[in-house]
Amino acid sequence: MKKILALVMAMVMLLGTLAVVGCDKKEEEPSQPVTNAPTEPGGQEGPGGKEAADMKVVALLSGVITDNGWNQIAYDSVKNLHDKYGIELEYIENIAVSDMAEYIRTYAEENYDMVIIHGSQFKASAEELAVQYPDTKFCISYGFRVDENTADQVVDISNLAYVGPVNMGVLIGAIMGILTDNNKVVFLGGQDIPAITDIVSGIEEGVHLTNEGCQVTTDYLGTLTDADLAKERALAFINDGYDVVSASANSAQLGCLYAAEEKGVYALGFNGDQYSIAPEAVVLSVMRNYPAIYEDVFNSILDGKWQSGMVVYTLKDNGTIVSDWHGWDEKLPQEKVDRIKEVIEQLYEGKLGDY
Amino acid sequence: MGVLNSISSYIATDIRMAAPILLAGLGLLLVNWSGLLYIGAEGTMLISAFAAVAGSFYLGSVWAGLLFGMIAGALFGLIFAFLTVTLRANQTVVGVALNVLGASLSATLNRVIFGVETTIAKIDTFETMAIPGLSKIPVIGPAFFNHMPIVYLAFLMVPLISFFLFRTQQGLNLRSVGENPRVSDTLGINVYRTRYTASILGNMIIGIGGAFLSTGLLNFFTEDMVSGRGYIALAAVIFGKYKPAGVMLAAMIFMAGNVVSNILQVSGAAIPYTFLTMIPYVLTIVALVVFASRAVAPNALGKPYKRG
Repeated sequence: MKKILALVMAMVMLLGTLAVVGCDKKEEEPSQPVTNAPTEPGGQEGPGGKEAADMKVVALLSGVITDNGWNQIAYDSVKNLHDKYGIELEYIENIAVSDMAEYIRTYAEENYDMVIIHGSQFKASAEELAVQYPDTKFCISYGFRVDENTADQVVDISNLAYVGPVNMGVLIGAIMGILTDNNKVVFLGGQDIPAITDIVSGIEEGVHLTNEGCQVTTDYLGTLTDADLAKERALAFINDGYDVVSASANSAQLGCLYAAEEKGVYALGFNGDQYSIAPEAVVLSVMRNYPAIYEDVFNSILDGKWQSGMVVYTLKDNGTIVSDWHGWDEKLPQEKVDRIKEVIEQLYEGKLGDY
Repeated sequence: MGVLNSISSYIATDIRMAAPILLAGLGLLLVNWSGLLYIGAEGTMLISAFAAVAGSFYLGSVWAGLLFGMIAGALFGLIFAFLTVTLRANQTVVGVALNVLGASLSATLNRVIFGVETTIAKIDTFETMAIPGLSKIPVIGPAFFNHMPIVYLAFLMVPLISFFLFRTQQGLNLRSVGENPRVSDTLGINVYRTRYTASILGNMIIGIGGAFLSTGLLNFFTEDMVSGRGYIALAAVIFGKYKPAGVMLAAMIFMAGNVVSNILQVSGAAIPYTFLTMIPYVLTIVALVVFASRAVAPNALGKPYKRG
């Protein structure tokens, strides 16, 4: 009896482990020759005289790479480096705050060149360990809240950068302000966390850039995965007369877009090109340009131009990009299309303020 | 009229959102009454939600998707029954394992089949089906008679399962296995077969709930999309005192909490969203306190049975 039980439990655990391992499609690291020759002064190559392809980069993520949002964009960033420079594709999913220090230590001990720590919640671990491993460059995605105290939140460590695009909310808001017919727009965040509040806080400002009298509601859903709940919340807003919906809540935000399509109102995608989720509703998608940002940081390490501290990418720095129109520039009233194009251009050129 | 229309749409929302939990709860009811303690409903719902999307994608019909979802559920039921009935493993441990398996397997298969992309595959989904005549009644019509077929099915199953459990010979056999398997065995009821059947059928019904979430209420699968509904269904079963009507009431009260959150947020009430998120749970606890009396769980629930 006991033997059978033990056997079964072992089997179940094995099954579970297999599934988890399957989930974590981390590629095996081939044993590569050690190229840690001392850096030659003035050399054109990266740290330790490395070629781009020999750079070791890892993304440490709080969630899964298919969350249609925050973590997927980090995966896209390392994937981009993998595709362009031939580096090993390395990432770890679902890291709890309490476990992050151990992961950082592991990769730092392995002499990784660039460790992307994706999320402000890992700030304490990043700051603590960056000091201990000066040879590794650490990038924490955000790690600061954009407000008047922003500067105080950044610790000056020479191998730690706080990296993130800012003012996306303004761009999203500006487009929403133009799209609305009823002068009622709503933006729903998933949770009150820095990566999301940064956007939410800019929405109202953005809407009022293009539509002074527009009613703007921003609130939080309280979930990042429950798309059905998000959909019903968005429906409630739409039934109340809101006619432009956008959201930043990873997978849950897909529900908001779906709701907009069901009710025939406009929506804006976020974090990825989400046209395909609701082609009848998603006019444009606004995306954090993390792939380009981290490519920039990657190159700065290679070229020895690494910058620590706050490394923010404003709209002018191409930190945020807008998707293709997917034919919406034909479907929308022409004056709206023209106005949106104009505003996007003005924002990028800094003509509407320092965004 | 505006208020009435709002009320009608809130009721419709409540019913629609309650359907997956109700289905999961009814499925769990069958499993539980046979004496098996199954806490893996979340895992079953996830794998079925994925299977339904895959089925609908490959075969182009949402009903084929539903069938896929039910088959996936049945497989989970079979695994559970094999491990707990034949091998007599600890039911809680196996339930937990199936939750993990469902979450990870659905995620892995999703990545293998649909890739790590922000685009989603176009699939066939359930359409709302207004019931002729009844749906024309003002207020009541749009609230109760303008839903997707699975919603009607879910609520229709409440009296059906109730009848089955408490009015038929098979239902009595099932319950007696859950109450006292030894005695049932001596009376010629095949305990193992009854439990296998209950586990497989129950998980198929739970699977319908998962499938409805991804191909009815939504039109895509995302990882962890069930977001705790499987656990809420567990609570709904106990809350509903192991009666189908009770499960229905529990599911609707819980989702009414979400409707209230929606109303409050749209009205612009300055309540922190974290409190709104709590409402369904608080409401459930309050209702539990008000209506509480001892929930009568089947006597042999969770106990492995060995013949002879």
